[in-house]
Amino acid sequence: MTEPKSNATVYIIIPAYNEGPVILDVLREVSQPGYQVVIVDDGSSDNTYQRVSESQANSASIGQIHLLRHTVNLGQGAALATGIQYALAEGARILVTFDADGQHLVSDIPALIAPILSEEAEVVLGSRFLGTQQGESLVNETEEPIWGATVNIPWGRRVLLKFAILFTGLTEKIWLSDAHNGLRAFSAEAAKKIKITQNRMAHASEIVSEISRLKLRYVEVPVHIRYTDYSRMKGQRASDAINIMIELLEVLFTGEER
Amino acid sequence: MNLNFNAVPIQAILIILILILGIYFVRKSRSRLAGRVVMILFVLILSIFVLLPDITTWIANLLGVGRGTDFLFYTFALFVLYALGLISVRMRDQDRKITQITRALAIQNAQKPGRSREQNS
Repeated sequence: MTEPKSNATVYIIIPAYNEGPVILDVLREVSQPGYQVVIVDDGSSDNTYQRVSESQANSASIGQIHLLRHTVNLGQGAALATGIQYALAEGARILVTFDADGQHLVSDIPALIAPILSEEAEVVLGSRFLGTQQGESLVNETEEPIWGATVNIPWGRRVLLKFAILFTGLTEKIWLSDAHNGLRAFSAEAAKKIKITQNRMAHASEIVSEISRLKLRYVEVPVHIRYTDYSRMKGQRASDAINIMIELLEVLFTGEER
Repeated sequence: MNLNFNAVPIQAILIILILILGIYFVRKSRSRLAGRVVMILFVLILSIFVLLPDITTWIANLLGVGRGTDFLFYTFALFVLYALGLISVRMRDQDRKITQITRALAIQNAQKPGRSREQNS
């Protein structure tokens, strides 16, 4: 059926930890198309919360912002889970996860939620490696986004991400082209079923394993990533991959905490 | 097995420490009687080991371990592992509770969008 779903029931969930310098720019961009934006400040020690709170009070220009705060820092996975629970309670039809550091492009969201609107999939995963000529236009030294390719992907990160894909494939038997992309969309029904228990970074793998466990219909959609100096600085380092593996091994050995 | 009372000052030091810690834990323990009894037994056994070190050698030989020191070392290692396990279980439990509380608080105190035109909820 044709659905009169407006952007007002699309909830963009943005976990933010110490993103003070960029958070307002990201918010301005994301709220533009009339989406509901849920910021979950994960106990930042900088002025992330204050900046959002003030701008929310002062100007109507910044749109539909819901501001939540963890009193202590729990990790990105926990912040996502909080945002998802909140958005579902608010009546979200579609939930989108979006990183706060400005690496995603808002213009990718319509393509991301399209498969859910058409009921082709319940979960849509953004992929930075899909729809690019492998290896070519990927490395670019300018800060400008290039359409159809992931922008400025550092060599080391590329290798790291490929390892993540391999690991996910081996453990979950789901072969994705990009296992750790922060841009995803869920139908409300799928979001209700998915349990995120990994408070820290391993939630990305956990989401994949939930898709496999719940046999959700999923699809990958090409999205862009802006590797700016800021996101590079904030982003994960190679050592984080090891931490994520250890977190997952902990789960294997201690049993799932459901 | 011989009592060597005139022996080493370390025995005096250890006994005093064991007693102080024992009393501290027994008084602080919020657990039921059983926990305290176990603690008191533990203090007694430790004191005997300190006063009569040869007993540990005797037990060691009984178990097929060479020296009393080795027996104590193995026991200690096992004890530490057990304690670590206990602590990590408790920590995980607490982490989960903290997550739940923090999440509930965040959702309860959410700042919703201000006065807006077409919002009706």
